[in-house]
Amino acid sequence: MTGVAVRRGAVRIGITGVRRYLARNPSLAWGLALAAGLVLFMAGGSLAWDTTLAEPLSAPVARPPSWAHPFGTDTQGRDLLAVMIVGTRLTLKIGMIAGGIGVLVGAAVGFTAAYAGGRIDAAIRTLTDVLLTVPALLFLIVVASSLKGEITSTTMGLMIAALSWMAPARQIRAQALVLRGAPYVVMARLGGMRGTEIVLREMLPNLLPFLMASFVLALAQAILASVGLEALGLGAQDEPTLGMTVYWMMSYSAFVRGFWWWIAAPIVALCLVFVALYLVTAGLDEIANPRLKRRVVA
Amino acid sequence: MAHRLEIDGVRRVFPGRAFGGPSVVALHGLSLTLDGARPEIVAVVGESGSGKSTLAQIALGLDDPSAGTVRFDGTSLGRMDEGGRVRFRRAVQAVLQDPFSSFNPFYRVEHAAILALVRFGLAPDRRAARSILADACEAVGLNPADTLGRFPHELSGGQRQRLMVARAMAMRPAVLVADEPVSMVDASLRATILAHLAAMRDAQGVSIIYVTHDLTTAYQVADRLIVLYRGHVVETGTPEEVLKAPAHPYTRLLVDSVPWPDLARPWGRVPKVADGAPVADGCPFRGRCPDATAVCARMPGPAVLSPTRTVRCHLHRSPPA
Amino acid sequence: MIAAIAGRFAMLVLVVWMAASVNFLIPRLADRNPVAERLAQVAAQGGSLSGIDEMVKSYEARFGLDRPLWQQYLGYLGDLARFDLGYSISNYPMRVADQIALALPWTIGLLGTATLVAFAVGSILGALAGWRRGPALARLVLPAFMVLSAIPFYLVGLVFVYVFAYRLEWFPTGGGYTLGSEPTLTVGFVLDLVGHALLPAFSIVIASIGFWALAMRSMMVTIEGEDYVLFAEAKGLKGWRLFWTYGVRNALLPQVTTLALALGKVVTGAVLVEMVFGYPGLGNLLFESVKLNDYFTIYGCVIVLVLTVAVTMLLLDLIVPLLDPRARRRAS
Repeated sequence: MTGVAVRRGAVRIGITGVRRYLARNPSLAWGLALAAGLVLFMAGGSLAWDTTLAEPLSAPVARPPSWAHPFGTDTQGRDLLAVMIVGTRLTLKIGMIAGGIGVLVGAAVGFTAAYAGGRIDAAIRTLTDVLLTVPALLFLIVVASSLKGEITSTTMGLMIAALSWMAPARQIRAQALVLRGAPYVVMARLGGMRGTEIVLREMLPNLLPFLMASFVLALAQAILASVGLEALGLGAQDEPTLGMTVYWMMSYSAFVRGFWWWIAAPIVALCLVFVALYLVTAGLDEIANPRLKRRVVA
Repeated sequence: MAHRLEIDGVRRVFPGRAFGGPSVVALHGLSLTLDGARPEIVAVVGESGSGKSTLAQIALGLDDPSAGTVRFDGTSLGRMDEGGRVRFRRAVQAVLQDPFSSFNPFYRVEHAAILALVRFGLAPDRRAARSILADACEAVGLNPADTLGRFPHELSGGQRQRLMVARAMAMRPAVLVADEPVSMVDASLRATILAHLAAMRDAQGVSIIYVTHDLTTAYQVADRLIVLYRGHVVETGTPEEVLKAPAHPYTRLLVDSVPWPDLARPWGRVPKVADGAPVADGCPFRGRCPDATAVCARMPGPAVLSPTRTVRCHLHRSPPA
Repeated sequence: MIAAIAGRFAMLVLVVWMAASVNFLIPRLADRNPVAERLAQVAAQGGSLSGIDEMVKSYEARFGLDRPLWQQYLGYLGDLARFDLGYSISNYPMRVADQIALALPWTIGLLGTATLVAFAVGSILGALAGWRRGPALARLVLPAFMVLSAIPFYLVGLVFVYVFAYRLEWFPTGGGYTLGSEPTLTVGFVLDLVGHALLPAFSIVIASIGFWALAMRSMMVTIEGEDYVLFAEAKGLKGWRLFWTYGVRNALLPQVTTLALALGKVVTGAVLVEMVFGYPGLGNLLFESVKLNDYFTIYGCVIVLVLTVAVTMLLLDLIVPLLDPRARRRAS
């Protein structure tokens, strides 16, 4: 009885604690709210709206918003509400694939560099620095233009993933180097733990907020890159991602013909995605790098 | 069985940065033997940069010497097989300086200790390990009910450091490396913690390397003193010998800088030379030494002043046998 | 110091070499013959391309497709070292290097001006917002610019094009200057140039002010807590003098380092802005080449952009220690 009561009390403290924390970290609060809104739009939209209308020739052509098509339709006969629902999902999927793989590989590479030290570390550091100097989008343009016509949202995600691990690797290496000398890691070694176990058991849990921040940042970067490629016409030709919608809109002269709804839909959706990710990143940064916190408070 | 840790002619050089930075010699050939048959507390005294922490790392097997060997029960650490390494790991434990970061903030305070006790076979399971740890807590004056099961941030610095000592006791090591164990603890608790270390020597037969910059606490607990300056052992002896009549000019400076509670004892008589330029070879102290002469360009060998006492300074020579 | 500079140069060489190798390898992995594709495309349109035989010949000679891969690779690197980027497929017999030479000044002009303006405006805004006694307005508008900085330049550009060029017709809808006008050094033509550059430049500026402001603000907050500022205040210095000579001056130099780090982002962002505005720089050349499958021009643009970014970063890296005694000490 009392146990349950106590536990309930703890939950309540947890909730108010979170609420109080969010009040102090408004960018995280707004970012999470926006992100939740987007998820709701995707999930709710998939349930409540007929997403097959995102296919070409499934709706009347180039209509402004109406009750039947709240976001209007494009010149290919796609319903833009359906396109936004599907497109947001596809764009996030690309980001998740690239960001997820990027952080996992980056963490492995970063920990390896920090733990191996010496030549291995120097080699990894040089490689990441070299790759980071070249804007990822430029490499991706070369790859994507060579694969033009054969790209799907999945291969797009994988392609970007190949260039998403460097930034996390560098950050995680720096963090691991700090943690490697931490007295509690030394104590773990004295307690008989070895490399991998120390990384997984002693370091990783303390790096979770940091990894989270890394992931969201990588996700945002990946979406940025994918939308950029798609706007150049280098995306999946038959999947209505947000970036491809921008490309089609430009190619079919929506500007000259004054189809403002076709211009507005992908731009608004993309802005919401980018702003949400930016705010969440800024908020998580405040948790992961307490030095920053002091700066803001001071 | 009594274990034996031998640090033999250990030298540690940290290479400079990739493009031709100067390398730093942290230890110039240091030897120290701890024999389990005669447990003792050896204080290693020196200022920051003296190499005392490097020595602690090497004694713990966390860092490898550039030259010289560390032997445990006669086997060099570098040549140990898996079993030997585990035995060494178990037998040589540590209390570190910073009680605040010695505990993983993600886990409850007993996490690392219980894991180690089970891993080294000192307890059959976690429950047994916990009770061993609880006993050790009581031995250092901590109430296990108030301490175990809490997160590090819920304990004070003094509680945490005593818990570190309790962990060390529970591990029943042969050698304990205490690296500045009381420098970050409230003055009121220092004596207690040092007393627990002395108790480990007396009751468990643990040999202790007590690394410190503080001569007074070394004087209180140590059986033997090693004074380090920039990686060189400049003087060794019993605390009585060294503190009553410091032989090396650096030790004299150290002793003179201690604000002794005796008001009659004057303070700061030794003339101080402002930090001289670091010297490449020869006696490292000669830039700051009031007695420096041309002969100091070469580091003299140790002069044996008594069976327990050595000093490396041109002012002293071994008496003829 | 010299070793550090040598290290940076080695880095530059590595970067360019890696970019070149990607450029060489990826198309070969994809196993495409761009010239044959172009031929098929032209044939499908029922047209004929003058000099096509010549092009095929030069293409095969250039790549020596019968030679082993490593010989092709070395030959390619040799050509690159002489800035020989081959011929454009879609604009044969124009050389890629010449196309790029025509486009590059536009990009550098647009990007350079826009970045300098954004840097200046953003830094001042951030400095004012970070200074305790700065105007409240600065603190009020800062969040808006920060949120804007999350949005890529070209999306801002798309909105601007639609609103200011197509709807309000205040600005031209694209291009670098009015077609048909004679590129001469007259007031009218210069005004025409500026008129075309304004909207793209503005979209870059608007979307990057927040970035500079944020970096500058945190720097100022740190500096305001420093003892030397407190000391200057105690000495009786106040107001603007304290703000400029103690605050801004010390906070500004790290901003240059921030510029070096953000360069890649700025350049790729600008590439896409040019595409939106049809601005005749490298970005637009890239976009057009992608549309026409003009692979040699694509690879040429990419290598030149990589080179530009890497060289600028190197220069910034070398300049900062000259300006900033703190960095000088770190470097030595």
